[in-house]
Amino acid sequence: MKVSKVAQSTARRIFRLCSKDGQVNEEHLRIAVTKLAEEKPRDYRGMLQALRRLLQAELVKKQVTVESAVDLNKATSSKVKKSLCSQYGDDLNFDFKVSPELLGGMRIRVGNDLFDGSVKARLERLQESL
Amino acid sequence: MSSILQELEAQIANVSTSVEKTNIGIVRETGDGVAKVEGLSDAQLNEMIEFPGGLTGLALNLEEGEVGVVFLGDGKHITEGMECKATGKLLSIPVGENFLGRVVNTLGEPIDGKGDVSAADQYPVEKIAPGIIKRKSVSVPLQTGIAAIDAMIPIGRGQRELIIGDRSTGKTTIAIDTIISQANQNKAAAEGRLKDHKPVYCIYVAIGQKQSNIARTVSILEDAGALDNTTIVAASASDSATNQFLAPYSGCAFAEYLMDQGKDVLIVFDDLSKQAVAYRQVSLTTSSPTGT
Repeated sequence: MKVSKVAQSTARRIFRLCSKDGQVNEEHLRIAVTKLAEEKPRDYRGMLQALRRLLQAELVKKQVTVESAVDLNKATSSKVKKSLCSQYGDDLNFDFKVSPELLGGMRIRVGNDLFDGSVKARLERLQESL
Repeated sequence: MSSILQELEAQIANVSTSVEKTNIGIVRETGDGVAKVEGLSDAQLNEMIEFPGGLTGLALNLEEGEVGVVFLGDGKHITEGMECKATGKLLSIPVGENFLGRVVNTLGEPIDGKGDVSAADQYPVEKIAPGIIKRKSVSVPLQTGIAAIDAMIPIGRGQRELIIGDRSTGKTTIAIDTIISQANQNKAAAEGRLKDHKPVYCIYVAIGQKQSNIARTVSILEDAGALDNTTIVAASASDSATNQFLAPYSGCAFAEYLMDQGKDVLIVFDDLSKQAVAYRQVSLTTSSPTGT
């Protein structure tokens, strides 16, 4: 569904009004969405669609995927959590995965940022340089 | 054997083992040589984007949460869900004096089958032009070798000249003859027959022409002995619109390198109306402004 520019800018405005210090206030956003669905202003579907996209982008920013070749022990995982929280804020959602193809090390993705310290990536870099 | 060992050790020492932060994105849709990428929050305009399979893309349209990336090559293997990463580098091409006498594509890769070219430097395709204060006023003439032009509408070094005319009236011929004339003058100056002559190097940018026409131009220059001081940047009609749109910028990067070495350069864009068509095509597919 194509969202009009007006709907997009209105959705952005609603989203901004429901956020404080870069954090989305869930309660406020819920009220805004309910009001939109009830009052059905012109192009309200587009607005809801744009709001969904903005919220999704916001959630992706806070999503952390930690991949490792073997299962991480508690001490290591808490160390990873602590160092990432100090860099990106406390409200991160962690997802730990085991990927044997990494051979060793870790691959951490926070939103759009990727920290690849896996043995596989290092071998690839070595292959490229040779 | 020991030298190979040392070389290998040096190569391994050069490989960075530290963890680097990279900005990544996921391909949301692809088609018409353009990928819409979600993520890439740190991407800059005209930044090179790395796709799987060694394909490079160019970030041309930055939107909120989405980036329009045009492929600089064949992007048929790129599918939805693939990961790509920002390189942090603006589009740049290899340049150098070794490119004289060669035919290259928009990305500076040789296409004449004469092997690799060792580049002296990497130059960005998009560079701010020197300001008006920095430029010298035109004082040295550029002899085209065509008596009518040199007598009635002389051209100076540091000047732009538009060659305008109906189709098949000899616009390309004027440009090619001028390039050949520069080569002859350079030779005469080297032999001491022409005094106080600073050699002029030539860049010929062929945009949207048939490959057969480009091959004919190359052979004309070769036969006249003018290819040795000429670089040909070819973006033929069979190349992608992006390559045709970027070809003049690449040609300019080659010329700017020679200019920075204190050399005089003649650059011919043949022709810019096809580049305008290519730009329109690119901007319509990336939904960026088509310009005026």
